[in-house]
Amino acid sequence: MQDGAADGELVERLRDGDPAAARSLYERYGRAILRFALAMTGCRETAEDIVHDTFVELMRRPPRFEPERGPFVAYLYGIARHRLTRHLRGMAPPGDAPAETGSETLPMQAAPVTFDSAEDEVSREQLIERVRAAIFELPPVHREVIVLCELEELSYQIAAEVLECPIGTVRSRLHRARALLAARLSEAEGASASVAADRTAPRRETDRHAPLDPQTPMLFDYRRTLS
Amino acid sequence: MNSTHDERLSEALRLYRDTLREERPSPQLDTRIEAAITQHVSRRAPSRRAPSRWRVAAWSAAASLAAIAAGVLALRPWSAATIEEISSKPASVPTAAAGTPVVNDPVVNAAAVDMPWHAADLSPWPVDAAIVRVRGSLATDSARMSGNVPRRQYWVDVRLTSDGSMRIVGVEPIYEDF
Repeated sequence: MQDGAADGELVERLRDGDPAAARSLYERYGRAILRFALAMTGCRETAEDIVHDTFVELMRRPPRFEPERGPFVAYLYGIARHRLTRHLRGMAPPGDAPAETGSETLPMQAAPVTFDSAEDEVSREQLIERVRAAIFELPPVHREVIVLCELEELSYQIAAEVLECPIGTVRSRLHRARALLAARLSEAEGASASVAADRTAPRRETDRHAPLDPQTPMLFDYRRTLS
Repeated sequence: MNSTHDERLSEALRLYRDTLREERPSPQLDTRIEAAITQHVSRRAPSRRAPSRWRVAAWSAAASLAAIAAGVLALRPWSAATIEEISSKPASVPTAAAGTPVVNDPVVNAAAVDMPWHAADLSPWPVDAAIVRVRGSLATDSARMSGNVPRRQYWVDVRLTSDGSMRIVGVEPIYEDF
């Protein structure tokens, strides 16, 4: 059920203890917060925890949202960001350790390669996978600005309110983040191309029949491609 | 970053953005959120709220305090008047310094003469205590039993406090009997 009321009105009703207002706010912004958390953490389970915690924080105390300080969406992203910061602080840097072992953990590798024959053509899914991994490898301060401005398409003004920094800082961080991202994508594609070239070379007989150890870390999980 | 890379990055971001837009909260998350709404929001709604145990206790405590306060307020005019009456009479209390020992009884003299101030003025419990003024006479049990009650009578101010203690704060002869 979509409530056509303005955010401010819904917040007022939430303050008065109206459950329908809480449901409307969740229906309106739950997916956005989920996307934000998903892009930031790379793990669906964690992202859903963040969404849950964000809305619990919103509901548990009457919202301290002040309309004159900015739109409600910035306030809500701000809560989620604080939750994410707390979560990311407890995580190892992306390059040091594998992601959580959740059922839907996203791959951490920067340059997934395929065992398929279409080496030169990077499929749509592969490109998405690369950019997702590249974003996840960015430092959090650059990752969040990419997610907010490029993926969520928030205005610089709202992003600045979420990130609690001036607009100029948002612009400079975004510029830097895009540069880092482009470099990583370029590296990934280069690595992909070289690995693909290696694949075209004749293989030794022993390689072809070597047993696969499921515990061996692989650059790319081929089972994912085949599924 | 050259324009080719920039275009490539924009294209990749657009594809990823479109993929993210297809994400939906899982039914488990919806259930958790609904439970949170029930727990945190519905409980706050005053019209639908069932009286919780602590709320009943709070109301009981408030009612008790109100009853005590009402009792104190009801006693206050009387006790205040009594205190005022006592306080306004120190000049009439015979003192050794005044040199007018009207009361000849040594017990009464000890109480009345050696008291330059009223004990009630220094009480740390000014509101939850009351002073009762009673009329009395000093007599031995045998004299009382024989009906030979002395004519000399006194006002005795008795202070009753809420902790159950009682003490005499002033004894004053009744002059009109003389």
